[in-house]
Amino acid sequence: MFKKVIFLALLCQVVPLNAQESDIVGFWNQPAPGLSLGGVAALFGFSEDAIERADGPPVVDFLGIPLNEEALSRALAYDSAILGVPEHVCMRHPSTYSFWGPANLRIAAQLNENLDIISYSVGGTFRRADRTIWMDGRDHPSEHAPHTWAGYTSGQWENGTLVTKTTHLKWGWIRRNGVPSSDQATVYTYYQRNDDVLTITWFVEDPHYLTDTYMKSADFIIAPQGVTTASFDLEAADTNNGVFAECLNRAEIARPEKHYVPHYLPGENPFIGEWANDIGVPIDATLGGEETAYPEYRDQL
Amino acid sequence: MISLSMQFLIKARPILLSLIFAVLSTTAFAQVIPSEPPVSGELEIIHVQGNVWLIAGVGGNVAVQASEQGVFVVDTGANGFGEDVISAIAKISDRPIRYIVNTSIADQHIGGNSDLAILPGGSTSGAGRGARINVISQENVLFRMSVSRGPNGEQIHPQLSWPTDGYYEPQRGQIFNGEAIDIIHMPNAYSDGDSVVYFRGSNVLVSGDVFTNTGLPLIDYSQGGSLAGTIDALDQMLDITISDDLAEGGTYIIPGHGYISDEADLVEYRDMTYIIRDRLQKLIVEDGLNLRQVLEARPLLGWESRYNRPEWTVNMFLEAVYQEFQ
Repeated sequence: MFKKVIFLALLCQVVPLNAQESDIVGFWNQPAPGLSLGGVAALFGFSEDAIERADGPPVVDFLGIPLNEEALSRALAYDSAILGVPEHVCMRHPSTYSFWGPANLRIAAQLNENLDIISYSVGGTFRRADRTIWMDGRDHPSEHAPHTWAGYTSGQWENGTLVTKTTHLKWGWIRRNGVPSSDQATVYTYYQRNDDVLTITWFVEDPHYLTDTYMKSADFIIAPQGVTTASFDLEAADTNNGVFAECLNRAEIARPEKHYVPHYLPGENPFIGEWANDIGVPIDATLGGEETAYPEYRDQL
Repeated sequence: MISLSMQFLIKARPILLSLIFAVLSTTAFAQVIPSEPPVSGELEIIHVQGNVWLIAGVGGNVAVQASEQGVFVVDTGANGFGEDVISAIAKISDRPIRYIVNTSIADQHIGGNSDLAILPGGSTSGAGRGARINVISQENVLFRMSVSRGPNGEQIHPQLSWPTDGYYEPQRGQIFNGEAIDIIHMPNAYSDGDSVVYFRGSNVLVSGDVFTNTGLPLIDYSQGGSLAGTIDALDQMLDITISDDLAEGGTYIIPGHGYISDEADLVEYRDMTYIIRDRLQKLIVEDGLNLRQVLEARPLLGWESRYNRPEWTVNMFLEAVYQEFQ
């Protein structure tokens, strides 16, 4: 929460008060194309978050994440072999994470007969947990409504920044090495355009796994020539140089047990200390916690 | 000078305490029976997909399949909410109720049986006539409801509320409203009489208390439930469900309590149950921990905050399932 207050204070300083709305509609690319991994990564722009791409971040690297003991227990139980279990193969990047993944965005606005903006559609994140941002003041669904990877999002313009709230999320993760998010997490996302750059900043609040707000940001640059995004239509993907998004649950590894759930028992994760050793920090630092999110934590190392 | 008997007591204290604890624990095993979450929220009707609706806010979730032929109901809510269930069904369809399935004997899934049973010809308007509603359950539910007695020998469940059709085969199928419906016995999950109901055409699975997203698995050992049976049931449901592209939608699930779910939600719950089973296996079978030590080891860490409820706490769950690993 403290981080969010600071962020809002900074926002008020840099955004003209008369700028009520900005034009975020269009194509947005991640800046600075980087690694080319088999041609896939070259489709997307990678920059400061390259460590999150391809195979993902190191396992048991939770530094800077304000996770509690419950989240740590689950994160240490995480075995990436779960990604080969058919029921898990096709899971999308949830809104607690998705802008941190490879994402070339297409943002569109839906207007009513008076040309008021009813909603925005934000599409293009990995495996397409496309987000609809409802701008017409409607309520969030009831507690019995389904939860989705994108969640249910409402938004409003505040001093030139689109501020959104997302609820009804599925169980998911906030980092691709097993740090969990619960189905009761809430994500607040801020879309701020400065000339040709769209900065998206999101805050995850999770009463079950986080002791403080978890904050991340990603920059996108305008791409008037269009961007490549994943398509659900195979023909369109072929003809439009797109990436086919359909994913079907298929067993990738033959296992004797039909419903197998890979995981590590408490104290048996073999990767504890591996990354700590690689970069020369104490193991405790890699286990995260609120204190590791602040610069002064370096003084303790 | 300490007497010999006192010395014996001092030396044997840890053993005696363990014995007392073991006796108390054994006694507790027979008493730890899960309670469903309290009835909360406003009555709500949500169209799930196809011909199936959810009625929420009446205790356990109620599923309704309705079309030209009539109304097929799965579970009847908590005691005292029967009239609410009837009025909600009337908003979905003016056709008569023909069938009810009770997914288990859990209070919040049979509570409205008596109210629905007296509807003339199953008519929610009261204007109908004809045969009473056919109430289906696995036969263990019928058996237990018919023999349950209170402390003074009084019948707990009035005869009017009993199922009229107890099935004993592993699976029963029927067509209603042009839709194939599977009623599948899950032998030892919440109890020994659980059924899940799958509406094939609408692609909606109704799980009863075998799956909820409001708390830890409800397991009643006094009525034949088990953790192993719960995992088997969750896996069997995963064999029924098929998600749409990218692990979302497709088969929808109406859980016993909580929000409308899909396969990914069921996977999350199954994974949790599987991991908890493995942790308990390690602590109890391999390491030989007693119940007190198991509670101290906190094998549910990771889900305690999300699923601990006053009426079915983490410790109650552990005390109930401990016996299964001995």
